[in-house]
Amino acid sequence: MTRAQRSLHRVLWPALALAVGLGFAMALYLRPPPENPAPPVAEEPRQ
Amino acid sequence: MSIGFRAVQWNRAKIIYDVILLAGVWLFLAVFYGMGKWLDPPKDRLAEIDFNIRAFGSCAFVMLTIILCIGPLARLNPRFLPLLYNRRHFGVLTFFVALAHAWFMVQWFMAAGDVGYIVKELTDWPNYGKFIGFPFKTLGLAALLVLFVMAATSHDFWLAFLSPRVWKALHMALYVAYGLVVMHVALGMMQEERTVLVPLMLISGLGLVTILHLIAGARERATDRGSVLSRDGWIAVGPPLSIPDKGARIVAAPRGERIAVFRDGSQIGALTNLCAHQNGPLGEGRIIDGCVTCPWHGYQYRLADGCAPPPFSEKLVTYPVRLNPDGIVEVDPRPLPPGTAAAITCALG
Repeated sequence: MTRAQRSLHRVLWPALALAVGLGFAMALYLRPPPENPAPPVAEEPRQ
Repeated sequence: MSIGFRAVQWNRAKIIYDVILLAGVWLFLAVFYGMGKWLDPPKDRLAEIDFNIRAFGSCAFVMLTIILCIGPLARLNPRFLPLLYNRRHFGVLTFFVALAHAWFMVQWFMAAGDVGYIVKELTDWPNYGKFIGFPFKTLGLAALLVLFVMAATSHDFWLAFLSPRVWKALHMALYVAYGLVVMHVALGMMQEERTVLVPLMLISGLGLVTILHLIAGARERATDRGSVLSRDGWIAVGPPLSIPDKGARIVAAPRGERIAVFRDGSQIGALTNLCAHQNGPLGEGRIIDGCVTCPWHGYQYRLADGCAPPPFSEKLVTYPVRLNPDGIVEVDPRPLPPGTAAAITCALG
């Protein structure tokens, strides 16, 4: 790699990693809560 | 100068590399299918296609992570250099695995009887303003498009046509593709699945790639700072024996490109550190059969004048070298025209 490409690389990586890391963290934090399983239907007492 | 097309030059190393690559993909998919069908067998046709989507998508993500680790790993330890040799085939195969993932997605909508829903989802403009709910398939499609451009221009014809500098810059878009893929999964599958496996896969992949790049980048920074110049602007390399026989020491002028100072017995010569093929780090290579050999793909140059041996025609920039009165090898960082003889012979000891 040329010197310019290495310099670009050194700037690009931390910036990209930070942006994607932040996006990922937000996506994880804002994940909707799991749907609660429906309560079991109580069987009607047999007559 | 016109650029001629030559088909891929197969050799034993490339064939072995590709066989291992295909076996690796097959093994990943076999384990994924085996485990998945054992733990939670698909109940209908749609679930089966959904399973294919996940299998090929995970495989593409893992492949992309490995590809991005190869570069820094090879810089940190030469034992990883064989992985770099045929990395382009790795990239092309990754594109096809990702394409299969996209195709299964289309197949899923076909089986569900609503192919038009894909277009509806991609053109649901209000959703582009949301974070959770963003049309994540668009991110996947954009990544696939980048992978296609990489795969389509991976051949040496494009490398020669665009020049190594432009080609390398273009192929840095792979980093952007990786970011898009991480967000495609984070806003898609990770929102639907509550399993810890998806976030774990993303954190470990992204973390590994980032850490390796940061370590390799920090190491490179030291060399790029450059050496102190003498009063007449030459760089001191060291005594002749400080340069390993059949190897090189890499120096750089402040703000200048790297120079590889090689020693072949008593002959000392300085060439640019950039291989004419893909700008590989020549100074990390060895002198084999009397020629400086690039560690990436084995391109060779004569130490005396930087010319590739016949029938090849590549020429490298060379630099004047001298031995100062104190017996220290010095190199002039002002480059000579490519192919200029500049090596010297000096007494050792």
